[in-house]
Amino acid sequence: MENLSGTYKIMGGTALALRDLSRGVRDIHAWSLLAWDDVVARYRRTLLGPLWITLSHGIFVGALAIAFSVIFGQELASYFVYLAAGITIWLLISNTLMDGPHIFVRARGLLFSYDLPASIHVLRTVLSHIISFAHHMLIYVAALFLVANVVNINTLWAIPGFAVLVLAIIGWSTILAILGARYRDLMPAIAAATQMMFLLTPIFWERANLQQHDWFALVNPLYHLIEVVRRPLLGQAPEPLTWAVTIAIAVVLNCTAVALFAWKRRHLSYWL
Amino acid sequence: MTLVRLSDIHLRYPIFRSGRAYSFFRRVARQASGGLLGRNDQDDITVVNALRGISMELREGDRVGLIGRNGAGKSTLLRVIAGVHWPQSGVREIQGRVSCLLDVTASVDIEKTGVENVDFVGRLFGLDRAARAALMEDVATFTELGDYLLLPVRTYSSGMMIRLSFALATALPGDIFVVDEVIGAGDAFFMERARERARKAYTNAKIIVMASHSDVILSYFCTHGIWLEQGLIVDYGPIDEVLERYTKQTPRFPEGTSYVRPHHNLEPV
Repeated sequence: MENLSGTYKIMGGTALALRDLSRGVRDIHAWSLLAWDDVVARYRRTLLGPLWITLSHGIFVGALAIAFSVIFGQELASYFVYLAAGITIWLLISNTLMDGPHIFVRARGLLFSYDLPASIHVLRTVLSHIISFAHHMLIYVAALFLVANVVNINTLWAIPGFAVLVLAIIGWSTILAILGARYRDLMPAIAAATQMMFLLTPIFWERANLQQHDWFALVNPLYHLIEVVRRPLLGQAPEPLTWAVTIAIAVVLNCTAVALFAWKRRHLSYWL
Repeated sequence: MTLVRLSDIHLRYPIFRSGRAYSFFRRVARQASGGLLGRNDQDDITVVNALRGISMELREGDRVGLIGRNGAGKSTLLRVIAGVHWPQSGVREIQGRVSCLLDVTASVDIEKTGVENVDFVGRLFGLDRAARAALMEDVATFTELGDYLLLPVRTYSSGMMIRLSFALATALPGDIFVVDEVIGAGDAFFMERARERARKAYTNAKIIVMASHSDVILSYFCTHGIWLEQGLIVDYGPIDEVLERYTKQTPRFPEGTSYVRPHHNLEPV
């Protein structure tokens, strides 16, 4: 927690918004504490605590794997690992998309009570979803041991891949947090669109299923955002196109996010 | 040194009168159709000129009460000092750390117990284990909530909630304490203790700014008063004199005054 003693002035809202951003990013203590608190709140009333997240996810992946391996006539072992990796990454993407518009609305109490930067609430929310993601990943790890071990040297690509994905997530979380504070009908629309994209993106089906309609996956940015982590988790390096698309998405989203935050931060308290 | 200096603060904020004003898709449709679709924004959004050129300077030891009718701009001014609202123009200069109590339920998580709330706020502000234990002790002593501290805050009565919020806000290190109308006049016992605590909180020559409709509370806590009317400062001075003129509705500066230093209240501005 940065001590705020010292002189500062409100003049340019833009300069102050950028100050909010840099203070927020540096206040790792505050946003990690809040993120952990969010995770704890999510399972406060459950019997198994954090294990509940893992268990429910495992049941979901297992049921889907068995059902679709029968429907699509695929080999269960490799399909299970594909699904465990893909759905877990998808869940991180869809949860952050759907939670984005709530970020500042939910943080109203803290924003009105303490002199903390608003940007910590974006980072706190993203981190809390990453913590849940880590719990979900136990299913993937279990699948490696129990079903099929697909890990090799290429798996290391998952590290830069995940970094790019997280940057993109921070970008859209910031944008949605600002828009969601001003416009309250964003959330249901995003939930509907996200559900549709779950069906249209190769998550429980594979890109190879598209055959000559391969382009349908390639024009879908969500496909690339999943692939940049999923490919390495399945022991393959991501395609150059995937790197190009995901890095471009991360850069564009973050530039937009900083510009929007700098422009609109000063209005935030009037919207809440 | 502790200082609050506001120079020519102007603040307008929008009030969204209807659900339509909150709609993203209505806005997009309007924008895309060049304004043909949907009603004009002005039909749904009212802009309030909440502060219309506020200048003031508060120094160490100032205990200032804001007086005025509903909608005069008291809460808005407190939020500007606290750094919650960012005005459209003007300069805000703060030396020292601000702690505020603007909304009783805002600073606590009602799903958490009292103890969890205190511990969480302690952690948020980077207090170590010993300091958090001291904070807990302090809050428990002041609030006298006893075993209620082990229950979720949503089970508290509003009086208990005020005690907890007030204890938390005053326990944190702060040089400038900003309080909106939260201390009810009814609980005389609490008021006495709150004043004791407030006195303790500003032994290091701190600044207190508070808003209230209660003469009793204002003259109890404050040495000086600032009278707001429609976003302008129309009077200021020693609290009893300002309260007296407020009762008679005879402000010294009906058109608003430009620069207020309550501790120099006898000098003409």
